[in-house]
Amino acid sequence: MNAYAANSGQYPAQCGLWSDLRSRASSAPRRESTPSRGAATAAWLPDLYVAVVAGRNDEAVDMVYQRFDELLSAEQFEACDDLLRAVDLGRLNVVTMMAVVSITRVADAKLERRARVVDRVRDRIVALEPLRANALLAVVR
Amino acid sequence: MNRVVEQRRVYPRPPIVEALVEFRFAQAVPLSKMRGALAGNLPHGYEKSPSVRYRIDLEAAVTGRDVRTAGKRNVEAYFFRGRSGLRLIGCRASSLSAHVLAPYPGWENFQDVVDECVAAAAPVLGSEVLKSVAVRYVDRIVIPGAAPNLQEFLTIAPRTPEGAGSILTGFSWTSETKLPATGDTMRVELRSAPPNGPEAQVVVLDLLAAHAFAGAVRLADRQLWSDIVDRLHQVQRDVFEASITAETRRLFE
Repeated sequence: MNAYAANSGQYPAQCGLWSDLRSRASSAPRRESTPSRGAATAAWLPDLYVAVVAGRNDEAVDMVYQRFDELLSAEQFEACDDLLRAVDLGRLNVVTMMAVVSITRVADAKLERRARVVDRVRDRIVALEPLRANALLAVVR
Repeated sequence: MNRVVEQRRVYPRPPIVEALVEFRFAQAVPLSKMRGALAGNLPHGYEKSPSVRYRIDLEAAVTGRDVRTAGKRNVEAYFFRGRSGLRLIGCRASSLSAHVLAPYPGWENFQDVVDECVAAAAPVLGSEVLKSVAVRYVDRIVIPGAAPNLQEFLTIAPRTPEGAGSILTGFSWTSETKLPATGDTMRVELRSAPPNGPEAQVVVLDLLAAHAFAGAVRLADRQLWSDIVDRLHQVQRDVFEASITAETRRLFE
């Protein structure tokens, strides 16, 4: 018997944190009854992914510009960084990824996460649009 | 029998409410040491003072007809929350974990949280030998309809015996299997959960893929465990796809 199987009882249903969200047990770690500011900031992302899958590029790009612009205009750079960490590039197309990179360009120096996102966008563009990669990458940064 | 696994899919609305990677150490590591290791080294963006999960331990002594009980509150785990509240790094006695919460940020971003967790712990715990590593995804699937036929949505939905009624109001089912090629362990748990309203049924699909190390692999030996974590992630995905039907996939689009 392997070591994991011998101790499989150590992964109980309550091991994860999500269970705490619905648990009323007093032993649960403190957690807000309403979503955190970060969760609220990222709550629109599934709508973005739906618009991308549906091919509604204008709507998707508008969403990206509007949401990031709200944070950048208010100089909420940390929240903007958190949003960059929350965006799943794997669910975006090239147009929407370019929108993320371009709207955040103005605050590049203040966004810790942006360089990583730009690198990943580059990799994805090369993989998704090899013929247009050079032209697209010229405007990334 | 050959198992048909769906090709990798990317859903705009995945049902993932939590995903975590957990490292277990072979030798006992005090919780205080784990907490100290993380508190001093986590990168900017994580809270410095962790949330605490307590465990209540009860003891009972029976003497004749008398029963005396005593209870003690002990710390079970600490969780360092990222600024957004959507990523967390946790520790409990002899284990370390990296978590992301919904909306799921994708495997790449999740791996960054795992890397942050390991990088923070490595100066103190890097030489600790690992007993196992596990990848776990908790999916909350909302199925519309007051009394939907779960067989149409889940390939692993439980069947009820004839005469027991067709409206399934509560269930819990767990399996644990071993993958012969790798020795990995896969635990699948499917259970009902409180619904949002009368017009929906909610099920939780809790998938855990784990690997027990045979040799002395240390936390700092990233090159020795990262491919295993990738494999466990893929196993979990395959099992997820094999557990749901086309009807359910439509719910995530």
